[in-house]
Amino acid sequence: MWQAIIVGLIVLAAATYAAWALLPAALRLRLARHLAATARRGGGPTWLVRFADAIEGSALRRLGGCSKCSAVQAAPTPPKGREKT
Amino acid sequence: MSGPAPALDAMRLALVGVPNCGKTALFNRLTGSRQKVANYAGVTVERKEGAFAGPTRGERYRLLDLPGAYSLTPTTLDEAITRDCLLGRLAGESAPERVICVVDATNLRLNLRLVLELRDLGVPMIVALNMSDLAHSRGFGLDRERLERELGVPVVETVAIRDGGERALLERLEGLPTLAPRPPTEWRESSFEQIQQTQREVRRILHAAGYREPARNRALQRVDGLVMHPIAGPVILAALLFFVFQAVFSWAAVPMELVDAGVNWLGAQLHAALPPGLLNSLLVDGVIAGAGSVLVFLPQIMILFFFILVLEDSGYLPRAAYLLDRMMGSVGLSGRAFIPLLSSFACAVPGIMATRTIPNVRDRLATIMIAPLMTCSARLPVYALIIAAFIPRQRVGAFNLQGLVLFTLYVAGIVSAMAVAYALKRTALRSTYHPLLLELPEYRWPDPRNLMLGLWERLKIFLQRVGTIILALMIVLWFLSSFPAAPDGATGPAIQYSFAGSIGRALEHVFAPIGFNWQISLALVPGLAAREVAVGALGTVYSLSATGDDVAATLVPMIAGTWSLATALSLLAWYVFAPQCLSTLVVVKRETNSWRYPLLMAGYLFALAYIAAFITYRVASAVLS
Repeated sequence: MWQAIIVGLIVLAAATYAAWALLPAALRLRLARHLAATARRGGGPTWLVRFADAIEGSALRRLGGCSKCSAVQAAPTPPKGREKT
Repeated sequence: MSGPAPALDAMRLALVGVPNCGKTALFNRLTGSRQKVANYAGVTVERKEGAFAGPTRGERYRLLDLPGAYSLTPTTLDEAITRDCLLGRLAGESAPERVICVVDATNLRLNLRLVLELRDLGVPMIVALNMSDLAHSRGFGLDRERLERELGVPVVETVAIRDGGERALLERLEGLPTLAPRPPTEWRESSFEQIQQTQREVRRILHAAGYREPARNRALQRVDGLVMHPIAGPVILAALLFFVFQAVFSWAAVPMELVDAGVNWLGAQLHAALPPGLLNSLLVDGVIAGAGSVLVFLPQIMILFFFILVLEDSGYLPRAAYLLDRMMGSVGLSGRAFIPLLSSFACAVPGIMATRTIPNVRDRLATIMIAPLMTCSARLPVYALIIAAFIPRQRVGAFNLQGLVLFTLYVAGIVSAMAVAYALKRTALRSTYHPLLLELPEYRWPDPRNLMLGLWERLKIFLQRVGTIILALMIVLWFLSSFPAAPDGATGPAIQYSFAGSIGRALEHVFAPIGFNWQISLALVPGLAAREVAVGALGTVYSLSATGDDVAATLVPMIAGTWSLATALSLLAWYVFAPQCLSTLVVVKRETNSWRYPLLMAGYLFALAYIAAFITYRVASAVLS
């Protein structure tokens, strides 16, 4: 029985992580911000607020895959006189 | 980002300079970061941020590393980022309060135009004469104080790749005045006459400062004559690439056996230590068999990256771009596409981002569309697994047969990319030919520290992937492969009756015409997350399919015994084109600001993969039977 419980928890954690990691970065950040805001508004326990903040921080760091900065949230303004497709 | 955490009130500094003058090396030196550096232009294509503290007053700085630009009038997207950042045009971000203009001391004539343009912005600035050690060793001459007076800004010598090479810069940085930068509206692009005037001013300043251009190394010039020769050059390039792929198989054999033995030992220990049951199966068949089967390919990936890093650091890569320009031009691509395509051999994501250095939009889109056809490192485990199982480890003349097959697969990817580019450039993305203008860097001995750091970063990335997303997916796959349990009286392996078995059998209808069994069909699904996950998925599925003594067997002999050669060749053909991993599609969407291109890309790659695998399977089956 104890084996089934441990295995169930591991599988649940793995499935949640995989789903979270494979979400598009922008959607992940939106969800994380919503989660953090809900935790703060609801006046939940400190550990829950901290956990939500950590998730938000992690989503911010992961934004952009290989890069982490705000400059790559969207492609930059094209230079003047560029050919249009 | 590393170094001290940036405080909100920290002063914002921007590192600006022409491409390949050592900005990122200086950024790493100042902040303690490990951003990628290499000996060619266009490595940094986005703004990066770090932090550090001044050595005497402890003043806090936020340092921005900007893409290289020859002037503030951009011709490419990465240059536009630099201009926008300096002028405070990036959303939610003001202009930097100080600028460090990094110039290559070995090539001042090319660098000073940007210095003059930056000075005219009115932002407090300091000029860093980087690579000054190299310049001095080649007879460089300059009256630095006179140059300071002529420019009206502090000028210091730096050696970004050496400990303490940034000291002079830090000392002068703290003495710079703090002024509010000009508002963005005051800046205007230079007219042709103004550019000519600036060039005249550059010549005057250099003359006044007694500039003596460093001489080029004669021996290296002779090497260049051979390497860039229209006949000898391509032969040397082909031989070099061939050697790399031979080494990937020959040198990796022993370390791979060691890793494999370690993984098997760990699996056996866990199997013996834990009581039979669900946890035992999860750890042995799911975690060890799945993630372990990907881990085995670490030595091959490290060897491949070792060679890529050596070539990057030596300055050979832009020469290869020059040699391949004619070939690229013949299919309508710009020679500038070479570096992004080369980056795609590591991973398509940075390769696609590197297309920002291509000025023409249609050339850029064509390069983005073919970048995933370059064989990324995630495909290496799949190739290596199938080659190890089906291609005998023997020599053909002086060559290793397995290395020869791997080389052929990489060439197949390149040829396919060129064919697709040819089709695109003659139809939807037609544009005029743009001649290649490329600055060739000096040859350099690869820096061992840089090499080690580069390999360490690759090792971390690979292990992080194995330990996070691959591990998580393997656990999920184990669950899908283990439940529901086999019904009473079932004769086959339990996995056949599981969720995964049902999914695999449903997919088999689609993939049976190209020779894939249900196990392969199932492994393709998690392979969409990252291609190497397919190897882990096969490890888990075959481990759970095995009975009795086979449990301890490794994946290679297992697939060698159950697949036909035609199936193996068909899977190799599939993976030459393999539909994209999700992160690549997301990056294509971001870089093109449209879902049209990622959807088009996924569609055409799936069609090509299916057709190629179908033809391979049918021809191989007919020939072998």
